[in-house]
Amino acid sequence: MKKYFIFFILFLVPFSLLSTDKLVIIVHPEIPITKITRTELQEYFMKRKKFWSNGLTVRPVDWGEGQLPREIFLKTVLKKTSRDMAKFWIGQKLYTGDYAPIQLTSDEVIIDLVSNMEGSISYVFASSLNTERLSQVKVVDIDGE
Amino acid sequence: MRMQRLLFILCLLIISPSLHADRFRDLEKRIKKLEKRQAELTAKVGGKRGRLRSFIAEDLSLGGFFESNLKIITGPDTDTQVSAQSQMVGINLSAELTDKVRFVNQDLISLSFPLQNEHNNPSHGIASLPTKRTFGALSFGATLAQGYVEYAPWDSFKIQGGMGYVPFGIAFQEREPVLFLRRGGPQMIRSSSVDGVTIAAPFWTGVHFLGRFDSFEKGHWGYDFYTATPQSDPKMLGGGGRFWWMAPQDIVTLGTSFQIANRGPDTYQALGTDLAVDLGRFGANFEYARNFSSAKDPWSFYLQPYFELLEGSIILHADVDYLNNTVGVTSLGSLSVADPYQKWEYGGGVNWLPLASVRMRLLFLMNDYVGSTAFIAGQNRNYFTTEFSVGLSF
Repeated sequence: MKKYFIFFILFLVPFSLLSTDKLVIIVHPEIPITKITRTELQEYFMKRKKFWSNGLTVRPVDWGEGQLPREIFLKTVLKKTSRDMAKFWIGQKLYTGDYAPIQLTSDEVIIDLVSNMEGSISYVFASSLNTERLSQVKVVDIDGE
Repeated sequence: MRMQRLLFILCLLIISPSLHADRFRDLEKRIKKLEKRQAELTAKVGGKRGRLRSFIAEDLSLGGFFESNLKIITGPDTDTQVSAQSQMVGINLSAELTDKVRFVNQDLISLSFPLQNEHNNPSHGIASLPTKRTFGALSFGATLAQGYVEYAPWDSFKIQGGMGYVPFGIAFQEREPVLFLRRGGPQMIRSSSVDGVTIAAPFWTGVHFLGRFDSFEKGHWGYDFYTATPQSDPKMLGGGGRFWWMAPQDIVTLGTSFQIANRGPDTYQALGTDLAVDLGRFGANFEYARNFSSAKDPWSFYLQPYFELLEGSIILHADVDYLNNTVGVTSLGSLSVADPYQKWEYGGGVNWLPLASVRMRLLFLMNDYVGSTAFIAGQNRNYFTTEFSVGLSF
C-alpha cells in the first residue's frame, strides 16, 4: 500500500510543478503598459505591429525551437504550432524580407536582454523571476487572466 | 597504523563534498559568465539568423528558394508527354538600414521547357508553332521580382518606392512558387493575354503606401495604394488599392482590391474580392476578380479548401478554378494571335512537408475547356495534368 502511495506522489509531483509554474510576460521597464491581450501578443511576436504607443520599436525575444516555454506560449497564447510559425516566417522572409524574432535558450539571458534592450518583450516561467530579476524588468498581465 | 588510515578516510569523506560544492560554485560562475557573454554578443549582432554584414547596412538578410517540377500531360487530342520542365531559383535580400528604413529585393532565375500552344489551338496560323500543345525548346529567364526601399515611421503608414508584387487579392501577392499549395497558383495570375494584362498588372511600380490599424477585439484592418506601369500601356501610369480586414487570431481575412490602368486606347478597371479562412487544421481560400474593359471582361474565380494532417506535415487540398479569358493569346516569341477561351481547372493534390521549409507536391488536375471555343477545328482542347514538384526555401 505504501509503495503505491509513493508512486502516486511521484506521479503527481511533475504535474503539480507544471501547473504552478505559469508563463509570465516581461517587457523592458520603459514600455508604457501594464496589461496586454493575447491578440496584441500575437501581433508583436509575429512582427505585424512594430511600434509601441510611445514610438519605440517592438523587439520580441523568443525562446529556442522546441523549448518548453515556447511550446506552451505557442499553444496557449498564439494558438499556433511551431510548424505554423516556421511556415509563417518563411513566407514573411520571401514576401517582405522580415525575419523571426531573436531566439534564446536561457531565462537568465532573456531577462538580461529584456532589461537592457529598449522596446523588448518576452516571456519566462514565473519561477525564474526572483526579487533581483523582478526589479530589472516589468511584468505585465495578460488581459482577462 | 589502522587508526591513521581510518582518520585519513574520514578526512577525505569530510573534505570531498566541500570540494565538490566549490567546484559546482565555480562551474556555476563560469556558466553565468558565458551566458552573460552570449547575451552581450546577442545584443550586439541582433541574434538574427542567416545574417551577413555588408557595406550596405548593419544587417543584411539573405534567403531564397528553389523549385523543380515534373509534369505529365495527356488528353484526347494531346500527345502524352512527360517533362521535368521547370527549375527555378529565387534569391531574396533584405537590408535593414535602421528600424524604419530597409531595402527588399528578390530575383528569379529559371530554366524551363515551356508548353507551346498551351491551349491546343490547331488554327493559330503561326508557321513554326506546332498545331498541338507540346513542351518546347529550352528557355532561360531571369527577372527582378521585387526591389524597393521602405520607410516605415508608423504601423499605420509606410511608404515604399521601387517595385513589388501587386497587393491585389491573395494570389497576386503571394506569388512565391514554393508557398503555393498548388504549384503555379490559380489561373488568374498565370494566364497570358494579348497585351500582358489578363485580370490585373502583376507588379506595382513607382510608389506603394500601406498601413494597418488595430482594434484588437474587432481584429485588424489595413490599406494599400500604389502606382503601376502596366504592360498594356507603359506610357500611362495606372494605380490601384486594397482594403482588408482580419479577424482576431487570423481566423478570417476579407479583402477587396481594385486597379485602374490603360489597355491600349481604353481604360480598364479591375475589381476583386477575396476571403481566406484559417481554422487551424482546416482552411480555405476564395477569390473572385474581373477586369472591366471595353466589350471584353475577362474574369476568374477559384476556391481552394485544404486540410492539414500530422501537425501540418501533410496538407490535402482541392481546387476549383475558372477563367474566362476573353483576351487570351497563343504566341511564339514576338508572334501572337488572339485565342480566347473559357477553362475550368479542377482536381486536388497533396503537399508533404518533411520540414517546414521543404515542400513536395503531387497534383492531379483536369483542364476542362468549355463554351464556344472548347473545340477548334474539331480538336479537343481538354487535357489532364499530373505534376510532381519539390520546393525548398532557405
